[in-house]
Order: sequence, then C-alpha cells, then structure tokens
Amino acid sequence: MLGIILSLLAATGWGLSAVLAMVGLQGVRPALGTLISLVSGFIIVLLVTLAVDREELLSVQPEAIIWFILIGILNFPMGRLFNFQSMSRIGVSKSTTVLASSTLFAMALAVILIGERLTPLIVIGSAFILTGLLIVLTERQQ
Amino acid sequence: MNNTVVGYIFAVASALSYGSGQALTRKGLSDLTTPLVGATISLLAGLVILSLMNIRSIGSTDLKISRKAALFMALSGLCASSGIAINYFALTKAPLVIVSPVVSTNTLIAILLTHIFLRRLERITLRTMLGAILVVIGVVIMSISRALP
Repeated sequence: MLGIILSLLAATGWGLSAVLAMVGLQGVRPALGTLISLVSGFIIVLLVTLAVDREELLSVQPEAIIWFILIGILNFPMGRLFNFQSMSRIGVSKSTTVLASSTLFAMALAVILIGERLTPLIVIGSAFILTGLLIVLTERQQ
Repeated sequence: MNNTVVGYIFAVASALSYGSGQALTRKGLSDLTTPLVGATISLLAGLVILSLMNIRSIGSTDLKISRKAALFMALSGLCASSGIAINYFALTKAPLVIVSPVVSTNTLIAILLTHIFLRRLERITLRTMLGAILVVIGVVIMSISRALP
C-alpha cells in the first residue's frame, strides 16, 4: 500500500511540476526557466542522495559518470528545455501528452539499438500511444 | 512557421530526447550506480550546460524576470526532483510492475491540475483529454510488459 501511495505522490510531483512551470513561463524565457528549475531540483536530489546514498555517490565509477552526463544532456538542456519551449506555445495538456510518448521512442530505440524483444503487449501499448498522439496532433487550433 | 506547429515540434523533440535517455538507461546502466546517484550526476551535468547557455543573459543588464516567475520555476524543479526521489523510495516498497503504471498517470494528473488551477491560461478540450487517456493507457501497458519477468 505504501508503495502505491508513494508512486501516486511521485506522479503528483511530476504533474504539479508541469503546472507550476506553465505559470512561471508567463514571466521568464524557457532557457532561463529551465536553469532555475534545475538549480532547485539539483539541490533537493543532492540532499536526498547524501542522506541515503552518500557512500555510492562518493565512490561512483568514472564509467557511470560519463554515461549519466550523457543522459543529463539528453534530459535537461534538451528534454526539459524543449518541453518548456513547447509548453509556452501549446500549453500543458498537449505538451505533457506528447511528452508521455517518450516511452514509445525509448522502446523503439531499445528494439533497434539494443535488440530488445517486441512482445504483443508492447505492440498493443504502442498502438494506444500512436492513436492518442494522432488525436492530439491533428486537433484544429481554435 | 505557425507557433502551434513549432510547439508540437518542440514537444516531439522533447519526447525523443527523454526517450533516448530512457533507452540509454536500459542499456545496463542500472548496474553501474543507483538511480539517485545517476539522477544527481545527470542534474549537475544539465545545470552546468544550461548555465553556460544562459551566461550571456545572466550577465546582461536587461535581464528582467519577475520574482513570482522565478519562484514558480524553482518550485517546478523542486516538484520534478521530488518526483524522482519519491519514485526511488516507491520502488523500495513495491515492485516495478505496480510502481511504473501508477507513476505513468502523471500526464493525467498534470491535465487535471491544469483544469483546476490554470483555467484562465488554458482550456482543455475533450479531444486532448481523449488523446491523453489513450497515450497513458499505452504507457501503462508498456510499463507492465517491461516489468513482467
């Protein structure tokens, strides 16, 4: 039960983050807004990591550092900044819906690059995501 | 180019970037370090690069941002990172097959909160809601499939 409550809290944290960003983006450019959000985000994650994973943080392997820097580049100067750019133009509801399809892109890349196996459930899930995306992307702007 | 089209292009580019990050994470990176340490390194890398990108505007005198906007952006980052940390603790209390689908509903939560708090800024159409529900169902199915042994 606690696991489900925590999962819901995590989902609420991410959902609320988008709404707060939308308000903030009314008064700040997306690039600077992304930077501000990263400063506060980094502080909270660093504090939690120091509290529960201090030894691992201090002894992390160089290989892990290189990979996670690469992931950081994909997620923040690219992923989050593009997301804020998008949000300031089309709003939270549409941009978060398109963003949710990142799972589909991740799966496609995993199948192509890592050779991950396609299962019937993945095909069904992909069909739902593509249909949802199509519905959102083809909506006429009013 | 139409502002809306540019918005959609940025949204797809964002999904591609995050998707590539997720694909990299799957490539055995979970064995290298814990998710929290990985998130700390990633956030620091993002912070350094974005600081360099913003260095000109930070130094310029015409930088005018309202305190309110800065506060909301800081709170946004705080909530996003709290999500990362809480997700980590959720995974220590429940299996991935339960945590992952529940966490996937964050899109619907964002839309619900937008409807409640941002009515003045954004109107949510039935079509967007339907599209979001289908996307979330698809993500839930995929995350269950991934988490199954």
